[in-house]
Amino acid sequence: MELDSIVEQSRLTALQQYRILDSESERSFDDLVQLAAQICQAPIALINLIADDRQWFKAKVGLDLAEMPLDLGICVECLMSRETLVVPDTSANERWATNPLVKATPHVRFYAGVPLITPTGDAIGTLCVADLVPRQLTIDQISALEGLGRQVMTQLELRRNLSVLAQANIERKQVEADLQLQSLSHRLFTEITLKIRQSLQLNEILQITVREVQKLLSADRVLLFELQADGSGQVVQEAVLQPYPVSWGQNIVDPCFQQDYQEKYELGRISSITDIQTAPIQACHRQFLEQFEVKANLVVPVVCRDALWGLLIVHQCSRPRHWNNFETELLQQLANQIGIAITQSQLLEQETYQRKELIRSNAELEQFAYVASHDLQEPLRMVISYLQLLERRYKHQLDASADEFIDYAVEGAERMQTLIRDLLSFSRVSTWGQPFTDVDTEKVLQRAIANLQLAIQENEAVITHDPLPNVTADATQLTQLFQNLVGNALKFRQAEAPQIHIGVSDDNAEETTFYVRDRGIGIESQYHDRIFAIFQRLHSRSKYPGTGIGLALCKKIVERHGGRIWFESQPMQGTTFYFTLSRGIPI
Amino acid sequence: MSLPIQVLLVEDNPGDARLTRIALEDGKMHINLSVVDDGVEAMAFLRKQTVYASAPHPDLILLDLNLPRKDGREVLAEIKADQVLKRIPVVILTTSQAEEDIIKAYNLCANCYISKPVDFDQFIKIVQSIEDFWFTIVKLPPE
Repeated sequence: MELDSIVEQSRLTALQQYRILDSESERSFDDLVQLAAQICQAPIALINLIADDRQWFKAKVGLDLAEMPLDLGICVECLMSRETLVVPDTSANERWATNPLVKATPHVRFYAGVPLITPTGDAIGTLCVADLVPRQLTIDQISALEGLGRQVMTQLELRRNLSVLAQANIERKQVEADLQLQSLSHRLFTEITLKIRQSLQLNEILQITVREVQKLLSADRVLLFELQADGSGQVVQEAVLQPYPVSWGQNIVDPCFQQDYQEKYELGRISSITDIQTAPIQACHRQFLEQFEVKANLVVPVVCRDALWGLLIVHQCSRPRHWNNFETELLQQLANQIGIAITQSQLLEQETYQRKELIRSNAELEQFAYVASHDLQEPLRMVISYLQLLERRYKHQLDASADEFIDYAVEGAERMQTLIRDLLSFSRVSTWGQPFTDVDTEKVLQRAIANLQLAIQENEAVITHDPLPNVTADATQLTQLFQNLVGNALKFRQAEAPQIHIGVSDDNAEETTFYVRDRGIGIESQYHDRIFAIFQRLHSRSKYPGTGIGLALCKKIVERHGGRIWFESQPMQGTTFYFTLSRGIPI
Repeated sequence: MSLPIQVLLVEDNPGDARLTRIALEDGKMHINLSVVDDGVEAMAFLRKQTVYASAPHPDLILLDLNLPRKDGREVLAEIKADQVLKRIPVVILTTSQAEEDIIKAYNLCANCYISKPVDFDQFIKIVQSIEDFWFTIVKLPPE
């Protein structure tokens, strides 16, 4: 008997979908075979499902067998023909006469079967009746048997749909449970991530993490273990249920935690132990865990900037516990977040320290500049006074060279005096600054111009200005700022008499931009970066005297007021210096 | 001819002391300048103690603030607490321009406070102004 292999394959797949082979007997199918036997007045009736290796009876009447080999059966013939098959006398047909069921017990002489064909057209079995004597079926009986065959098929379909529904229901519940867990872990994630962004308080973040993980996983203890270079470590955070021992704050040296363990964790190893009594771990490690009444544990590494910082550890103390993939993954993801939080906190600490150091060293430098320049004045006063005395009393009494030497010495000492005075005022900008008040800028400018009166007259300069708004500033420093900028405009003049204009180029709610414009010699673009640096000079001292502190001082004053200073310039055309002053109270 | 005017200079910097002497010598008055170089010596001088038994009673004291052993502020406080010495005008002559020094000196009843100028000519001018003001304009108490 050869079965078409493609048809056979499709048929077997269809049969499998009903998941009926080897199932318990069911009332509905039993009723149908009973009915078939009665209608056909036959002692034997079967629902026979034909698998690839056997014929299995879902329901039966008059036969004690549960199943039969595949090669024995008229049912296979019926199945293959896909039509109702009636054999009035098996012994009259040589094909059936030698069949063991015919020749020996139960000595079947009569057979009638209908194929069970699925809605997709696959024949999966038969509904059949048999008798021990030759006989016939009426047309009504055959038609009823065919009807019952369709009923069997309907039952099979019903049964399958119910099972699909039940399966779907189970799956839905699983999905719901997963979703709930996911949403919990998502919430935990969000919370921890938010904490990381909000607080930068490492302890708080770690505390929340262990507490929430303990709740989410219903664990007995969750702890964060920070490793030291020597292999020992400390429990830095812990959430533990009563009555299990507390490990928080303890310095822990696990003799079994060897170097190679560290390396494995560094490479991302996760350790999951369901039951420490049966797990293949060293005896000393087991003893160590027993101290804390651990029955099962889950350990993931916390890695910070590519180095192992420590471990995130979950303990079950009440019972052994199998850790599933979801729990393991969740823990690892949280450990990653912790790693980020620790890295951030370390960077912040570093940054804060550096900033404090910078502020401190700046303040120290300013203090140094002040003390140095203040104390330098005293000996310098001696040098200058006695040089002047020498000049006064002995000029023309020594030779011409001596007079020249004295001149140079006096000049040098006087220059140093200017330098010290400028340096002093530079260092005083922040240390001796006055509080900011509402300042009448026009008055301030008038004072600066008055201080420069002599130079203005000497240069026959013309100074004009726009109406200037009030600002919030240190009036003394603002005077100094205008004085320096106007002073520079007078100093770096061209042949024609200087024309200097002070104005406002922008005045909005946040800041006011002032400018001082001249028609002087200008500044070449290559010097743009250097000009505000202290001690930067662009000209020889004999041409334009100065210490190179003036613009550095201007910058410092403007910055103390929370503003900016810059300039635009065309060589031999002139320069415009701009600076902004904040409208509100500067920080 | 009137008696020379007695001035006590308390100054630890000999260079400054010499400059003050030069300035006073150039002046029009006949001034007898005594110099001590620390606060302890100054008080001994004023109280005619130790080697200063025959020291003159000064008509004016020029006092520096930063002095060894006993500094100018303490000297000023002691002078102004003394029933006899407190009538002697004390001119603070110092390099310090610090506001707190100025306030403290006047709180201790300094008669005036002068910052030493860096410039020699200025210095001479100031010392001569002191001389002019205290010995020709001001009426001083009798000894």
